[in-house]
Amino acid sequence: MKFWEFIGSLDRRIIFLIIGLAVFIPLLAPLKLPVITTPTTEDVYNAIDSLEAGSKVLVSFEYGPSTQPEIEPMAIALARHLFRKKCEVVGMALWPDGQFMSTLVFDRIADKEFGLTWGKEYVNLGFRPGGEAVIKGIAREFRANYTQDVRGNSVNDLPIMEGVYSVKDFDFIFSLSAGYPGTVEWVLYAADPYKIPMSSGTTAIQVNEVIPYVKGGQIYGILAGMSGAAEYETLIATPDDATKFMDAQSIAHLLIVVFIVVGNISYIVQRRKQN
Amino acid sequence: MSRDVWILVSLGLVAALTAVTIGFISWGVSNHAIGFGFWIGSLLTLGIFSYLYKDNAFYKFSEHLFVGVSASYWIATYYWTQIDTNLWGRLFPAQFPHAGHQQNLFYVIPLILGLFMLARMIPSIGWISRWSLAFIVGLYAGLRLYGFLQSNIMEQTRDSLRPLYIPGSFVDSLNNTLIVVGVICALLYFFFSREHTGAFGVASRVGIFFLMISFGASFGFAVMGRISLLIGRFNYLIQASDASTGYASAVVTAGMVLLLGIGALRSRGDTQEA
Amino acid sequence: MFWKTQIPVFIVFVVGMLTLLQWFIPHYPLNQIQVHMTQWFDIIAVFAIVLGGLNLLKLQFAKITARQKDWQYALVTIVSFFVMLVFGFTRMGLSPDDGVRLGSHLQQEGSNFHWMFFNVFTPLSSTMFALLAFFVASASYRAFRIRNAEATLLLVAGIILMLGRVPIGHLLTAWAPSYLQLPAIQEWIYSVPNLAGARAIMIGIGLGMVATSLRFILGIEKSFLGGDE
Repeated sequence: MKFWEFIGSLDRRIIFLIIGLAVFIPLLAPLKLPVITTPTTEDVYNAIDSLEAGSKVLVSFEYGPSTQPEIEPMAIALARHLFRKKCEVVGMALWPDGQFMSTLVFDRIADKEFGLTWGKEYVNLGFRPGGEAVIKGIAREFRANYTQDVRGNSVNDLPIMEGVYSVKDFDFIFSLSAGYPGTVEWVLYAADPYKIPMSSGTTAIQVNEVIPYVKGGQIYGILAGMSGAAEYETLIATPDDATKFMDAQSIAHLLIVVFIVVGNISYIVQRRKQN
Repeated sequence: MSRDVWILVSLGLVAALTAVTIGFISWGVSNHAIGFGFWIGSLLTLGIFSYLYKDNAFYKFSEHLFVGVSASYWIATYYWTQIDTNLWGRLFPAQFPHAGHQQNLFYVIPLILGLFMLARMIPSIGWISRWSLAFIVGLYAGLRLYGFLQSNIMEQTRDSLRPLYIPGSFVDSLNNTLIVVGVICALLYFFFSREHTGAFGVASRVGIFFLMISFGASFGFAVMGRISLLIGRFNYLIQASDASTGYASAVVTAGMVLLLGIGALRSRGDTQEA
Repeated sequence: MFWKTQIPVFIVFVVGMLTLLQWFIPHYPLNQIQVHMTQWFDIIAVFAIVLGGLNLLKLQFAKITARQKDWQYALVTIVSFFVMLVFGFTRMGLSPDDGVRLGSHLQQEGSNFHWMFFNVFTPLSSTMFALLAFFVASASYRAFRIRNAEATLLLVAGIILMLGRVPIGHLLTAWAPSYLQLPAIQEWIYSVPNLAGARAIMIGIGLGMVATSLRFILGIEKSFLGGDE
């Protein structure tokens, strides 16, 4: 009995230490657990895979450093898939941090890995403030808001923007979203009213907010947090950071389940004792 | 020395460090060559993490630095991405040719409404900011009324109207029935204009079960998300402990543990004396 | 009264109706009005951010002058605010002949603003959020108790989802038939009962949002005017 009382009154700093080690150790000594894909991730993969070469895809970066570990791996995997399919990718951001995040992804994948040409095969238009008002505005007239890219080039001089005058001129929209404004706003003000095919990758915490749109057929699939990114990496056969981090994620989840079980046993034992 | 003096001396040291940092950057010293960014990044990362031990000066410093830097970061990015291109660019196209706009003097209206917003800082004329706020509220209301009606109500209702019996597929029939029953019962739970008793009470109770499963899933996703972010930060600290960075995070961790340890011993000594 | 209450209510009505109408009549001139109104909104949003910055400064100065608890740290906020502001509006860190325009310098590697973003803002912002992982773990241990049927459902759903979505969930139940393995069970929970609950919440929020928007446009709801309307 005393053991369970001791367990029940454990200093929270010991819990912090245990969870810290459970995350830290697998990062140093990976277990290489196999990643299993889920149907919603496969839906995203299939939607992107069915795009024809030369399709214009708008990728919106709605995340920042605070959620970078979850979304960046999916942004990288998505960029690889899109560029392998020879799609033309236009990046934009509804979060100010998003334009820094998109620059990291484009520099690494489009520029260094694929050696693509800025303005022809991809471009980064950067951030515009206003959230859903930006979406609504560019749904009508893209160039009223975006007149230049992040490097200061005029949008009118970019070959990739030829024929793009509103969001409706894109073949596909992909929202990499960590909250508001993000996937929900893209569905409400672009995908649904103008019937533009869309898909998204979100933070785990946002998944339940978006899942009714996915199951309702309003968007094609969803990449759910870091595990969604790992699944996508598996599907494109290029394992990267998310796959590597799945070991730490697995062990931490298991530990939290153990915490819940132990905490409840201690609670039940103490309640019985009181009764 | 009093607590205030200690804090001021520490802050003085940190301010000196900040000044040296800015000096280094401004004089063009390559940050990547000396891994200087990793040192600052590690210091701030561990400064925030030190809160797990207890509230302390490192954490407070990092927290206040975050607030100050964020505010200016937002102002600068918002200004350059909107005001410079889409406001000045329309009002003064000759002076801002890079914006690529033609002159449109109607844009003096959002400028005035924006300035009205700033009037909130002066209590005597603060009420004028209501006009700017009214514009924002009106646009939001007009956008959301239609958006939510179509995507959240109509589309969700449409997909919930599923056939309860699908010939040859027991599982699909069961799933569809559960979704239809679950959505209706959970919506009934939100209906507070009637007392939850009798058949209505049973339905709303069933609704609670579906909502609880949904909250459980949200909890699972919340855990997943937070752990992912922690993994990201730990991965950064591992990268920052590389020899090329001068073992930045390892040294900073050791230093911080030492300082917090000394602090703990001092406070224990003070308590015993008292 | 007229200037302070009726004019704002009138602005909400006009702007709200114009925005609403163009969903149904997407033609000239409503479509053009919409393009510019969304731009105006975006511009006013910037001033709202500036207001936030000024308000922050005001509060921090008040903290110092009143010598409130931990007032010394307010200095850190003020100094860092101005340092970042200077970096945001100058090309500091870049050489004069590199051709990078002011404004584009935010994204330019080598500019002080860029350096501050990646080495100060990024670690601070990401660690603030990562910190919550520890508190979620602690809460799981100390707060999640099986007190009744509802709490049990919540916990069981959470646990199955947590394990089923990561590789270890597959390993733990690899011995079972495929439909009883954790990934399959979590997929069913995620796609059926969870969907029903999440959808009901979404419809509920939708109804609330539509009603509130309508109340604003029609001038019934005036809470945005503040207390002394």
